[in-house]
Order: sequence, then C-alpha cells, then structure tokens
Amino acid sequence: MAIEKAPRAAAMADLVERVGNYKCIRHLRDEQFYSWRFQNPLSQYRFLYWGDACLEGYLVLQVSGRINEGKAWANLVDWEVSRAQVWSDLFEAIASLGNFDSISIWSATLSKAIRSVLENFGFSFVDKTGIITKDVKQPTILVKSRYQEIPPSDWMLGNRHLLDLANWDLRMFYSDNY
Amino acid sequence: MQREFSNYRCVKYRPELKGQILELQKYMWSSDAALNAAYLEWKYGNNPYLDTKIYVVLCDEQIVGMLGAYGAKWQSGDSDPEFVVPCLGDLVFHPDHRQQGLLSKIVAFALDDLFNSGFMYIFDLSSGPDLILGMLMTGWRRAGFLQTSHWSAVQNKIPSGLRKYADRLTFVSSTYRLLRENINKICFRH
Repeated sequence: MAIEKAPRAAAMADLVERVGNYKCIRHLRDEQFYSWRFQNPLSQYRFLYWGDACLEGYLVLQVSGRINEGKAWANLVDWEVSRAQVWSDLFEAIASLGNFDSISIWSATLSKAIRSVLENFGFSFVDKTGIITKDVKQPTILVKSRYQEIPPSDWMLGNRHLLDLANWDLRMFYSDNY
Repeated sequence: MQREFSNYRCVKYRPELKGQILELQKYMWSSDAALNAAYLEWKYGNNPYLDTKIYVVLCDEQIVGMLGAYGAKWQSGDSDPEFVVPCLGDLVFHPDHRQQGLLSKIVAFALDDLFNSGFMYIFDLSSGPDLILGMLMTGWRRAGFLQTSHWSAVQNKIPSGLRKYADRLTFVSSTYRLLRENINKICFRH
C-alpha cells in the first residue's frame, strides 16, 4: 500500500479496464482522463494505492486545502478495486492514518458491496426524504436535451435512460466542485 | 442599481477577455488571479474533450457575468460508443449586476451555442439549490439526488484491530455493530 500526491494514470486506467465493468452511464476513465483531471490547481488530491505496477485497487481523496473550523476533511472522489476487501483495507488505512475529522462520498449509486463496507465503517447515509425543501439541498445531476419534442422519459445515452438514477455510476470527481 | 435589460449582451469567449474573466472569477474561484489563470487554462484550455466554451455577459463592454461548459467523455456500456457531453459550471455574476435576470439570458445563450454545435445533451453536476429550481422550470430534468454520505472520526473511534477481527466473523461483526450503535447513542446523542 502506498499514498502519493500524483495519479498513476496508466496503472489506474489499466485497473479500470480490467475490473471496472460497469453497465451504466459513467465517465470514460482512461489514461488521458486521469492525466488531465487531477491537475486541477484549485484542489489537492491524495492517492492511496494497493499494488505496484499492476494495481489491485486505489482510492482518491480530495483533501482540505482551506481550514474549515479547524477540521480536516476529505472527499472520496474516485476509486476502483478488484474486490470489496481491498476497498475495506484501503479505507481502514485512511481512517486510521489519515487523521481526517470527516470523510464524504456520493452514495446514491454505490454498489451493494461498497455500501456494505461503508456501513461497517460507520458511514451515515442521508437518503432522499421526499420533502422537497430538504432534498433540494442534496447535490443533483441535471440533464437538458436538445430535442424539446422528445419526452424526457425517452432521453437516452446509448441504450440507457438518462433520467433513471439506477443507470448511473456517479462519483464526486465527475463534478467540477471537487 | 437596476439597469435596462437591453444594456446587457452575451458573447462567446475571446482571448482578449481573459483578464476580465480572471478578475470576475475572484468572486468564485479564488482571490488569486494567477491561480485563477492556471485553473482556466487547465479546465478549458487543456480540456482533452472540448474546445474552450465560455460565455460572458457584457455591460458597457465590461464583463459582468460568466458561464462555462467543460467537456467530459461518457460511456453507457462497454460496447456502446463514447459521448462527449458538455457540463455547465463556473457561473458567476459581478455583485453589482445580480438580480437583473441575467441567469436565464446567459444559460439560453450557452445552450443555443452548444446545441448548434451538435451536442444532444448538456449535464450540470455543480449547481446549488438556489439555481436548481429555476433550471427545472426551464426544461432541465433531474436524473436524481446524489446523496452525500459522511464518515466522522469522532463517532467511529474504534480500535482498528477489533474492527478488522469483527469484519471477518459474522456473529462478532453484528454484535460489534450493535455495540457501536449503543456507544454512539450513549456518548453522542445525549
């Protein structure tokens, strides 16, 4: 296991290619994307790797550059693992060694295996309440179509409906807020 | 100060507007113009998927608002084609020009240009709650709430050895969870 300040773009893309076989709407996470995405000069990232040239897993944290009431926070913005146990071991290393007061993650589209790992670590989940004034404060993905004559229920990317959240794999680093 | 709506006009980014953009973005990105320049270059100039798509509002030839669209490549399945979809971001207005109805003007201008460039969809993953309702009223649709979940070090200070052991034994794991919930109730909710 190693923690570094720069992405191993090629190795990360290779791991995604080997195990990230998601049948859903997601970013193309190739070497070009990883090389570019984490050069964001307004953010600081830390990369926790499991493995050497051939990775078994990684977690990417966006870490606090600004002091927020003296607390050290991190956002779990991306990850890939060959099996859930690797995710668990990587997170345990962050929780015990990272000295963070809090860690956040977008959880709406997590797999059951990863969600279970998070539950074991004591993550608190803020589920949709159905109360618009509360739910509207949660981060959201909005979509606009060029074709006004096509009903929103038929908006598709490839063969997947865009307005069905179950069709997405969403991570914080898809948003420019992170 | 209320201004005539017709005093404002939207234009696409040109390099000579860069200096004004960097100043305007001190209200959002950072107070450091050099850092803002690096961010602009990274996000738009070096974006691997989309040429610079920045839209600005001018008032008396001064930039008073900005909206960007940065590129990202998406896929929906291994055998499906890949799609470049612009994502809106970096919306900011000068404080003296807020509450003037400029949001709908600059968004409409940006969408017109992006759709005329051939894009089928536009995404937005960064708008706050103050903007979302307005966007929903102008034809945007919500794919879903993203539900941020949190881990707190204070509430989860458990010896890592015990946690590791508990994770591997079903009975111990469930007992440990029950114990932890009760500890949380006793220590933090009273």
